[in-house]
Amino acid sequence: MSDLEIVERLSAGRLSRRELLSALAAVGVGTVMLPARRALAQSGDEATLFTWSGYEIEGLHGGYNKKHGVFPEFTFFADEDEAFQKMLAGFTPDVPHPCSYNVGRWREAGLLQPIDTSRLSNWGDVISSLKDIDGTQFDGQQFFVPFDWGNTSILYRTDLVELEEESWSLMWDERYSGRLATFGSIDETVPYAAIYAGVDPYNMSDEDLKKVRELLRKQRPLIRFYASDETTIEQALAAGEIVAGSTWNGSVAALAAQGLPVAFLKPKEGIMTWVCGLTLHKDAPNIDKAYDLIDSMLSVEAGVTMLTEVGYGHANAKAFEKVDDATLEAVGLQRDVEAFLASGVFSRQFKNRDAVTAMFEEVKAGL
Amino acid sequence: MENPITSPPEPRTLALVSKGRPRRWRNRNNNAYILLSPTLFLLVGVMCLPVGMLVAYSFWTQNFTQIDTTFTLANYAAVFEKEIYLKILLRSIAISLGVTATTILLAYPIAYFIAFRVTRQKMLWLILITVPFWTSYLLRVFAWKVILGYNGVINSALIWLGLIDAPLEFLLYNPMAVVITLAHAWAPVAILPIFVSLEKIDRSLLEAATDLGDTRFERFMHITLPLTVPGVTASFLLVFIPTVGDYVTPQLVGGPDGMMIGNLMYTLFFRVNNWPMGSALAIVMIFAITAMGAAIWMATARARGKVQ
Repeated sequence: MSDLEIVERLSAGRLSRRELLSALAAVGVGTVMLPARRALAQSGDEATLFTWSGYEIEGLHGGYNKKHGVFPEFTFFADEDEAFQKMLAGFTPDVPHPCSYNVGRWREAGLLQPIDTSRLSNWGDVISSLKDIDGTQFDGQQFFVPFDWGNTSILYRTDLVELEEESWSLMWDERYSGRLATFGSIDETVPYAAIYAGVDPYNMSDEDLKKVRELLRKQRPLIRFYASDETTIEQALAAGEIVAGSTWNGSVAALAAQGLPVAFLKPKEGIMTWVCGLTLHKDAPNIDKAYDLIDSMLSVEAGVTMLTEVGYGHANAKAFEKVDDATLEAVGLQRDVEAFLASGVFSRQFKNRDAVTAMFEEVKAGL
Repeated sequence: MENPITSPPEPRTLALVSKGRPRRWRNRNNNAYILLSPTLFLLVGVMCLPVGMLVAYSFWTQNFTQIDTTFTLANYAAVFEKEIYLKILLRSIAISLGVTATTILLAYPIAYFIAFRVTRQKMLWLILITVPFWTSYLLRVFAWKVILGYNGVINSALIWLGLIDAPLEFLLYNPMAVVITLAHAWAPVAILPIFVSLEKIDRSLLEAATDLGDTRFERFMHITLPLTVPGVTASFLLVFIPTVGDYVTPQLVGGPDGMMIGNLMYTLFFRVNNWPMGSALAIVMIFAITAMGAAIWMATARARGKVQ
């Protein structure tokens, strides 16, 4: 940890390990695609978790550590599209961590194998309504073990923003021109633009797509940067460089812990909800340890760490019994997962993903 | 100039190996190829094959994860039909030209100083020039993020001095930030060729110019600058060619208007899942850079012809 502190001090608190890691992951893509890397990845004896940065904290992997005496290996991606391409190019982690809406695509591409839930001692404690989310079960087989869930919304500085109403319109508020930021990936930014436009993000007609495109074009001049990771947004919010940015619950926990006056928007048009989870790579080199990894991440202990330190919902129902309401409230989570799932617009796969991607990339390029 | 590699003295051992073969087998070119073979194999393996794959991909199409190998020119047509590709390509070339110009303008005085003013320990100075290269490229980009940032070094200093009340926002997340960052990162690459061409200048030419009545400025314009054209050209090509396709710098400091062709290619390969389109764009970029490089080369060759 002292290394980390030095780096942070050197950069006046503006360069975090997470930021560095995600940038390194972004830059490292090219080299990682080489076959040599594949051999390296396979030579490891521990299960490899392929995930966003932020899930490498010890509390989530205590069970694995207890059983094997070491922590699992981690490989990070900045977003799921990058993860998908990296695996298509031959990278074989044991446990990739996508969100529910990507399981179908990844399975179709031949990257996943079914999970035998009888090998998971904590499966019984998993909240049942998370077990059969659309597009995660095929031919009666489980391809996805729900792990974390939460919201995508706008985190804003309560001291710098005069909120007129709880609405996505904040991201189009010209008073804050040049002081807003949003994710550059379609899964985060396009849906809220569609919700704001009043169309179903996941079933857009050409006409709907045009409406959303217009909104995003209107937003672009107001945007300071399109972020590839939440850390950049968190740091810019902390510095006051931006006053509002799209992000996830985890950022609420991170910034509130620093004592910053921030609040998570609850848009009247509907907040975005998502469930992400663990999958098993088709050619997972350490399959037994992969099951241990998944099981330990589902445990009550991991769940408590998740709720209190990371700030996302967890799949284990018993973990919620160990955390009080105030803690949940602080990170913007609710106890009742059914209410959560019914509370907003659930993240699904776009009907016409390629068209949506092309649209958003053109908007970002200034067309 | 005679290339030493193509005309080595004929080694005896080789003559023994090729005993009994027709004389032409011992021809000098073959020796050269044998000497070059490790490099040639490497070049074929890591350069020609991948580029060949890129060319092949650019004539194919992709549907999700399936590559359709039917020959098509559709990807190239798209490059010229869809506004986004040419727009970003032109922007990349413009940013890269800005980087190259800035780098050379800053590099020239440094190279001049080392070549003409430094009399002892020249090697030490040259090593010092390469110090920025000792850290990772990524860390240098991050360092500029820290310097140009909202609460960064420049803004904090200006606020401390009382010159501004609120941090300047135009320092980061725009094409200018990309130019600054890349110009710093590539400075050593520009300094060294210019230094070498300055070193090679025959000092007696400068003395002759002074004797004939040239002022210092005239002497620079008539002798020094024309004789360093090869060095400047080399610096231009060494900086321009790699920066057009730069990915990390625009990604980290570019902001919405600083996006470059490398970022677009990344998007095509990693988000849109369209390797053929990305390959076609890469090929078009290679041709654009080659054309510009050749134009610069010919222009300076003509200029050099005039000098001699």
